[in-house]
Amino acid sequence: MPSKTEKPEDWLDDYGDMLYCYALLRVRSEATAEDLVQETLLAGFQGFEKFSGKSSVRTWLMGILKHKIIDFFRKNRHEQTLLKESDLGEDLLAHQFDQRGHWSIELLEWKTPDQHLSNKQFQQIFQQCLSRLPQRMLDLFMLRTIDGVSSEDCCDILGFDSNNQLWVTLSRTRMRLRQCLEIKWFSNS
Amino acid sequence: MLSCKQTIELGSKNLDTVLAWHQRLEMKLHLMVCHNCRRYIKHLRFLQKVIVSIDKQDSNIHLSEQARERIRKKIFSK
Repeated sequence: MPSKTEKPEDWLDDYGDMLYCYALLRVRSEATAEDLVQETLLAGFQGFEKFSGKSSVRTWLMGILKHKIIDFFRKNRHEQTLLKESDLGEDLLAHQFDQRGHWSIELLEWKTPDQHLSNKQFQQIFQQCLSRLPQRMLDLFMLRTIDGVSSEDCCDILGFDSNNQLWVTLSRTRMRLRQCLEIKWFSNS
Repeated sequence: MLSCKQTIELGSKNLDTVLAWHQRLEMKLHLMVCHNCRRYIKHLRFLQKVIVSIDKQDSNIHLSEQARERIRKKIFSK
């Protein structure tokens, strides 16, 4: 049975910010994130009868939101701008590798990286690096690496033709992020 | 022998799927002799950690009062 302390009318106050923040990080539009929170709460009200209480209301609502976000991506698939060659970082590849595909730069050693995780400035730099990515790259990266959506579903949701295209895109996303962090953080720290 | 470019693509793919045994072997062989690629792979692992930790951070993003009111009206009017 759902806990009696969990009153649906309190959900907006208790979980609204958490849901909003999660949605905003993914859809990057305040209006859309707000709509998603609203739809999630409504779906929660309607489904509360069937809620088994096996998980917390928090986890349960997050689950609903994740589905709503995936639906949102799927519906807007055709409006997404396709990635260009330049988005995939061809220029970065050319800068980093010689013609035989060997490194033409020396990578820095990132000393004690874990210490940076809790550093506010580092977090800001990382957010900056994320925000420089083309939208579709970021969508894919978030869905795949944080939300653990399967490769097949990512292809379907975001309209990639093949798993291979997906893996290459993820690889280039990481390459761009790595490069950005190295320049903006590790070479100064 | 794999090139560095091929190795780092495999290194990334390794985070998303299970590589074929021969790919894993080729990658390992390359990493044994290439310190730059070893660094790159370490950096990728670190990136994964960062992205997960960013997602879990207490954030200062909040619903604005107006947004909260709009939602409240809509969900309680149904």
